[in-house]
Amino acid sequence: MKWTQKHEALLSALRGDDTIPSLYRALSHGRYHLDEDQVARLRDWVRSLATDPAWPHLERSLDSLTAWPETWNSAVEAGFSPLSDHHNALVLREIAGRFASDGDYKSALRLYIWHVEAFQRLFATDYPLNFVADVDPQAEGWEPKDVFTGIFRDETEDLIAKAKDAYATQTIDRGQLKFAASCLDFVAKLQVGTTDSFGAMTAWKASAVSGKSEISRIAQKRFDDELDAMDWTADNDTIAAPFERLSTLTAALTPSEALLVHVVTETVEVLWKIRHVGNDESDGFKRILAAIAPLNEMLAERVLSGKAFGHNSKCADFMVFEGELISEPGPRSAKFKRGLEVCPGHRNCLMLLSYVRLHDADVPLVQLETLPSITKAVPGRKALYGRLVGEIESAIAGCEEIFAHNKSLPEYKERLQKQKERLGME
Amino acid sequence: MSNPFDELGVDPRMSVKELTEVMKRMAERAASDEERERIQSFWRMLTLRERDRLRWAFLAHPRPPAAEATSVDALREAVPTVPVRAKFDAPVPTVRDCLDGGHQGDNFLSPAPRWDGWDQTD
Repeated sequence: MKWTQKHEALLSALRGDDTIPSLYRALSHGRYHLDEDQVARLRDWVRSLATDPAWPHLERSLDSLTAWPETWNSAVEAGFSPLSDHHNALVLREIAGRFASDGDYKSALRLYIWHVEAFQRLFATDYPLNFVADVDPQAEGWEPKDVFTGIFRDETEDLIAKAKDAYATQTIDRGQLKFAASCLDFVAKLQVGTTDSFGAMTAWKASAVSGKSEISRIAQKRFDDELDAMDWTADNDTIAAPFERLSTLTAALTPSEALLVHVVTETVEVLWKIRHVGNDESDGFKRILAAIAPLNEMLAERVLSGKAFGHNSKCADFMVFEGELISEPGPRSAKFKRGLEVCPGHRNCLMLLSYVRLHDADVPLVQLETLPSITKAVPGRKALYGRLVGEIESAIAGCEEIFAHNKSLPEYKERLQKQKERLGME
Repeated sequence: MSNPFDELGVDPRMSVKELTEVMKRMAERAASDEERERIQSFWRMLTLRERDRLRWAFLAHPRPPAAEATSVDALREAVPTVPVRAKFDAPVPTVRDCLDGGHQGDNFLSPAPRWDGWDQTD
């Protein structure tokens, strides 16, 4: 009996009905299912996938949820046809939307990124051109590229709306904000190759960049308005809120240099204000520092790499506030040194670092001061206690080298001299 | 908003004329006025503006060849079949049949006994 197209159609349908539910379930981590009609609509997807180099990677992991998402990554590496990627992009976008609606933003972000990558692969081929030729629209007063630009711009607008919506509430929806901002950030960083059918990816990227700017402007405006109206003696949650909200946004949306500089500068001013009203030992004060520390470090990196100019001092000022809260000498010293790296000669960093060095003399000084005066008569006293004198002298010299105007230096020198005389250790 | 191509199971690459014909038949077979209005609404979405048709087409899943019906049962029925022949043991004519004047025994279809005495030296 001759194998006909009808046999092929039946085989394809049976394979699809058998495989599509498993594939959809695997991509959605076992969470979502399809009804019969939805399965039937996706038959061409598996028909196309079955001829791709990626298919063996997918097929062998259909019933093993733990093998994903690595399975998808290896499948991408093996290769999809443009037709498969057309399907992939649509399915992945749909599942991402379902995850987002259910509040699973981590999964939503992963699927969203995969869908963007599928479209990116698709538009690096002639598939979109051939597709338009097949559909053969009668374009009057518009061009096909307008349609694709519109599709991706609408996606961006939807993300911007989600981000704005999440940011507008008093206690922001951090999950939704982070998801929308991360998606925008990903698209804004797309590497567009030389082949970009209809310029679609370039336009998509541009719309995401513009979207990021818009959200940053909104965030900065709210930040400024809240700071202007703030009573810095208020409770911890109230004074920390503007900073923590902004920090959530910038953790997902790579901030511009302008925003970084503005936020760090304003934060340093606020930290001084809080200190002046005597609220700098509050948890709110510490939470502000913790929220803005990552932004300050981003600014430091840009300053050190030469990408940002003229903002060294404020960056180091922030690190002084950070360092003051660190009690361990090693990490405390490291923070001030980082400030000096960003802003060589920063006065407060030098001064506070000099104190760290000077305090290395505290323990040996006390040890000397508690020795009985009779020690002066001990013949081997210099061998026994010379090390302590050496440590103190080194700490004083180190402090003086870092910051000669340290106000505690005379006191430490005097204490040392007094012990030397008392114990005959000159 | 639902994609008309996906909702109706129509090939996104169809021309306006083809869409109109197919959707007209769908509307005529519609079980209710609501269903008919729904199909008409989709028809308007796809045919009033060409750029909308292109947009919906790109955002719909590519369809398998038009020859494929939607349901597996319909596809099964469409597959050509051949009659299956009943199987019988093939009759084995022997020399005895010729020597006996064609006597085949009570049952023509039962295998005739083989003659083991063939003498090759004869």
